[in-house]
Parts: sequence; C-alpha cells; structure tokens
Amino acid sequence: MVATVHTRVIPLAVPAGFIFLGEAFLLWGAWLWVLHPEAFLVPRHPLGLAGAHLYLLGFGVGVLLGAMHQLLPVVLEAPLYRPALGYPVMALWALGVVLLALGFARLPVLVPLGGGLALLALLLFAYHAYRTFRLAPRWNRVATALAWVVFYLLLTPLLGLVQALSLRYGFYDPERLAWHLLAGLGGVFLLSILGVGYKLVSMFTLTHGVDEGVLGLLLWAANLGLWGLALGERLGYGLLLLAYGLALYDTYRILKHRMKRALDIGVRHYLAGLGFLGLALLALPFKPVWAALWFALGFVGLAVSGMLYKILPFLVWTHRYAPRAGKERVPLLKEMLPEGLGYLAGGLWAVGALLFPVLPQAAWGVAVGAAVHAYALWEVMRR
Amino acid sequence: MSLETQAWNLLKTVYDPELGLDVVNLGLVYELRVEPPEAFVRMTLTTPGCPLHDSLGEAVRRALSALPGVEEVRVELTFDPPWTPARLSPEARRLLGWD
Repeated sequence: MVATVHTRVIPLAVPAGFIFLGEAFLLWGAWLWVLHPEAFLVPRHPLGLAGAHLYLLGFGVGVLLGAMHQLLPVVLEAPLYRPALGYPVMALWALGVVLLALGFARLPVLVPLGGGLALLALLLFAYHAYRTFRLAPRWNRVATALAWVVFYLLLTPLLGLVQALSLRYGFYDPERLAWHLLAGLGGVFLLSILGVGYKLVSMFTLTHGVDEGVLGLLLWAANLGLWGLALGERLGYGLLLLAYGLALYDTYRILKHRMKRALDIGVRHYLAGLGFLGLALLALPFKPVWAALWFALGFVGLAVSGMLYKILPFLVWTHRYAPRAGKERVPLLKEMLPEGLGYLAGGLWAVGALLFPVLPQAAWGVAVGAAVHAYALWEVMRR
Repeated sequence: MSLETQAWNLLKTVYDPELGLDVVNLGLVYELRVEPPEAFVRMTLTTPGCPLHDSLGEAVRRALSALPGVEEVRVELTFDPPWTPARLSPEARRLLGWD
C-alpha cells in the first residue's frame, strides 16, 4: 500500500467541536456544583439532574463522541464511513443537552424535547458507527467494547425518555431511574473507559504482546454484572468487582510489558481514575450516592480529562504540524500541552471529588480543577 | 557522503511526535532504495491502525524529496512483518528510559 495523505484524517472541527462543547458543558455544570452543592447529594433534585446531565451527557458523552470519531479508525483499522455525519450529530446532541439542562433546572416541559434530540443524535451516531464497524477488515475485543458502548449510548436515553414521559402520562416507575443510571454510568462510561483504556494505555506506553483475552472476560463480567444489578441480583455486584479486578490485572500486564518507562500524564490520570472506580465499587452497597459521585467525578472525570491531554494535542498536531513534518522541525505532542497545568487540574479535581460526598464545599476543588483543565486544553489549541 | 547515507540521515529527522523518537531508531524502516530519480521506502508503524498512519508516511516522503536528483518518492506502509519492540535501536531504548 502506498501512503496517501489524509486518507484517514478526520476534519478537526468534528472531534474538537465535541470536545470544546463538552468543556463548555463541564464548566456550566461546575458552576451549578459550586452554587448548589446540596443539589448533588440528594437523588432527583432538579438542579442536581441538570448538573448531572451537563456533566455526563454534555462533558462525558461529548468527549466520548469526539474521541470515537478519532478512535474508531484506530481500533477498526478502517476509515470512518462518513466523517461529515459528525456535524448533525454534534448539533442535535448539543441542543439536546442545553434543553435538558434548562428543562431540569427551570422548565420541565423541555426535558422530553431535549431528551428526544439527544436520542436522535445518538441514533445517528450509532448508524454511523455501525457502517464504520462494517468496514473493519478484522474484529478485536476493543471493537466489541465500542459496539457495547454504542448499544448503551442508545439504551440510556431511551430509558431516560421513557422516565420523562412516564412522569407526564402516569406510568412512572422509580426503578427505571436505576436502569437509566446503570446503562449510562456502567454501560457507557465503564465499558468505554476500560475498553478504550486497554488500547490507549498500550499505545501511550508502547506496549506490545499483551493479549486481549482478559479484556474479553472483563466485558462479559461487566455486562452481566450491570444486568444483574438492574434485576436486583446480588451476583451482579460480585461480577462488577470481578470486572474491576480484571481491569486492574490487565493494566498491570500492560505496564509490566511497556517499552516507554516514564508514565505520562494521560496514563497517570487513568490510574487515578481506576483508584476512584475501586472506591466507588466499595461504597456502592452502603452509600450509593457516594459511589455515584466517586464514579462520575473521580473515575469518569480523571480518566476522561487525562485522555484529552493526549487526544487533543494529537488532533491539533495532525492538522497543524503534520503537513510540515519531514520538512522542518515540528513540536512533539508533550510540548503542546502545559503539563504543569494538567497536573494541577488533576490534583484539584481528585481532591475535590474525594471529599465532595462529605464536604460539599469541595465542589470548588472539582470546579477550579475543571476550569484549569479547560484552560490547559485551550492552550493546546494555541500552541 | 553517499546518497543512501544522506537518505538515512534525512529519515532521522522524521519523528514520531508521541514518542519523540525518529523512524530509524524506532526501527520502522524495513527497506530503503535510492535510485535517482526515484527513492523507495518500505516501512511500518508501531501498531496497525496507528493514528499516524498518513502523517508519518507523508513526512518520510517529504524528507526524502530533499535528496539531490530524486524527483519521486514512493512510501509503502506494511504490517508484514509487524513491528516489535525488538526493532528498537539501543539509542531508542535508552531514550525510552531503559538500559
């Protein structure tokens, strides 16, 4: 095969658009945390629901969608089916998040509309992902993880929308909120972070020779665990613990076989996120609200923000510097990120997330960490 | 300095931006032929599906275009055989923090 330019390059506006809209939603959510921390410590508070959707659907899913436009070709070894489909997905998703946040906080009638738009966005993304999956010359377990993530990206808003409509039409069932949470937190974020983490941590540490068998088992255990929990089976919790143990074991194997000795900022954030995941799982049977906070703010927040310190410089480098590589000196990726700010953001974020369940003022730590994180990413765009 | 030596030196200016190592010390270049007006490189990447798929191949093509008398550079990307860490040079291993 003769190398040709731009055969797999995605327009920068697609992943970067998702990422920076996600950052805007993160800052909006952080504003709610510091103004109304009490709203996040009780279930179903309107501002808590607004903040949760800004953070999880806005920031978390936004970054995930942006990253998947870049990652699907890497994992599948195939180009995206139609990169331009990213634009309508982005518009529908962003509008959906805004309407959902406003609806939960102020005007409940907007909630089904926002949820419907978000579902439409994710349906379109799922179609795009499906067509891209079909282009893959071979399959692997990271691709299986991403396929599950796409499934849960559809299931979560469907369950949420049913919940919103049931409030209006009188068939509300509080148990469905737990299903919505499990599909979103567990199905989307647990599977995407652990599945993609296997690939990304291996790439960032230049690790070869670690087979995907453990990841395959992990996917089985996590999926069955989530369905078990949804059905009220205690075995589900045990299976999630098993999945966590497998994730730790896989990470240990990857790091043991790494060729790049120093752990970079993305890998360190990922490891800190895994620590929070363990904490959340331990707290789950006794303090489910604490568990949800540690999972969302700690595990999702640190893993996602850390991966962004690797993904965004790469995206910018590809579009700004790749055309000059080979002709002149171009910067390395680590030179494009103000790393000190990244570590400062991660430290503030981690301490804030750890203390938030017992000390609501710790929301300031997460919020300031999020602001520093967003600024560090903005600097990447300028360098 | 022979054209081939010049070519290897030019390839050493093409870096993997993530690792900070050039394609020669990374062991990515499998074959190099310089026969003006054409140069040919058969190379690989550290992993199939590597996001640098297009960028590194093009960077190599641009670098070798600077060779005197060379008008066309063909770059062939292959994963057969796949890259393994055994292809790293001692210098690369040292820069990666080992040895």
